[in-house]
Amino acid sequence: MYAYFIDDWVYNNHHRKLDRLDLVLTQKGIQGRKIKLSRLHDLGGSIKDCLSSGIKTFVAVGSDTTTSRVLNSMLKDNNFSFSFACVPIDEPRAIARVFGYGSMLEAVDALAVHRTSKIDIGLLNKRHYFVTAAVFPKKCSLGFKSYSISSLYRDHHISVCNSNIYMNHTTDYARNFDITDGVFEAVIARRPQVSFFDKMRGKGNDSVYIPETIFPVKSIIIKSKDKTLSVFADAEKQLTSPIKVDILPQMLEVIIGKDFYGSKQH
Amino acid sequence: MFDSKDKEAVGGFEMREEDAETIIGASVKVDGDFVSEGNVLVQGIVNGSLKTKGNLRVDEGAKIKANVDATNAQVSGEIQGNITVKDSLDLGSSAKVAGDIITKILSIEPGAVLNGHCSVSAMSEESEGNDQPSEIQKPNQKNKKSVLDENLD
Repeated sequence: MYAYFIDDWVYNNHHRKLDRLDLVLTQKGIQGRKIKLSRLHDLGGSIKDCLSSGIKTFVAVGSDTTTSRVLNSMLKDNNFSFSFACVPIDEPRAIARVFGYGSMLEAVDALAVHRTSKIDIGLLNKRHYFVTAAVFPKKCSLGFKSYSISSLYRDHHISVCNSNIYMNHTTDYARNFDITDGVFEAVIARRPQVSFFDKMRGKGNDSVYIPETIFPVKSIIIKSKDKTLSVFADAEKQLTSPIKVDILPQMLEVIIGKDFYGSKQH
Repeated sequence: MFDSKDKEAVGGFEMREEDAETIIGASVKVDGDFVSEGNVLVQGIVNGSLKTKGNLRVDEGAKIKANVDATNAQVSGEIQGNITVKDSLDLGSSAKVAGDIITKILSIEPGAVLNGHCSVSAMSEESEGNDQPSEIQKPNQKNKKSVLDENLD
């Protein structure tokens, strides 16, 4: 049986999509319990309720923020086994893309097929879980056991990636980003320099970051002079510096779609 | 001068960019003792020491102030420090090395700068225990004279 955690704003802004989702789920025969997530909703209590009813597949319906919220609540008491999935309704939907489905209908198809794989999960300061990547402010530096890495330029982008968040730029290193390999990639990306005249013409202002430095890591410490850092890990989080990032290999069982990329599929 | 196939035939090696597991980009500085298990590509600055069990490629523009340890190495940048390479070391035409080199196979392209001692020993596994250097062969005096005579004629 399935439990669908539907975000509040989906009811308010996307009721037609929600009706369509309801219809498709009924057609596929994968209906389940629907839980509306309001801001002050007791998510832990709802999860315990579902577990006591024998539900083992949990689905977050909304965006990456919804998925991150549900996932963090579930993994806090991780002494039970469950399958996890998400249904993307609106942007950002990076987690859904990592799971192998970019749209609502593709996600429903994947739920019906119920093909699963175990993926790595990231952990920030032993408290916050993430799937895709943790993106840090520019002032930070990367610290390892015996060495540290700092950028020589100001306009850079520091991230610890579980999956490839630089998909818009096809690099030769794309194969390094494997969500099932038990290793993170610490990445420093840079924007290509734009000439003054190109800037005046409005070109290059929105140019993408290109990954330039890649380090495979299992554990890393991010240091900064600021005490509180705003980190984007699936959703925005405020964390105290230094931030320790750990990997939990093959921790989460997810329902995967046809576009899922992982070297270890079950 | 050589294409990649010829390089492999003479004992050199070529590391492609996509083979690298760790990439130290041109905009990055690494301080400390860097240790890696896989192939490393250096395009930026490294201070301290650099050790890898895999292959190493140092691109043009890279600056390393460190002792370097690798299985194979292909150098086109600057290295200030001793280099120990287990198998093959290639110094490209833009390479600048200030330090001692210990390797099994060494190839140097014209234009490369090297300040330091070189120890190149293509030892087989059987004779690895023998640390004695081979006897230095002096030029034959007779042959030398005859060559000079020929040149004078």
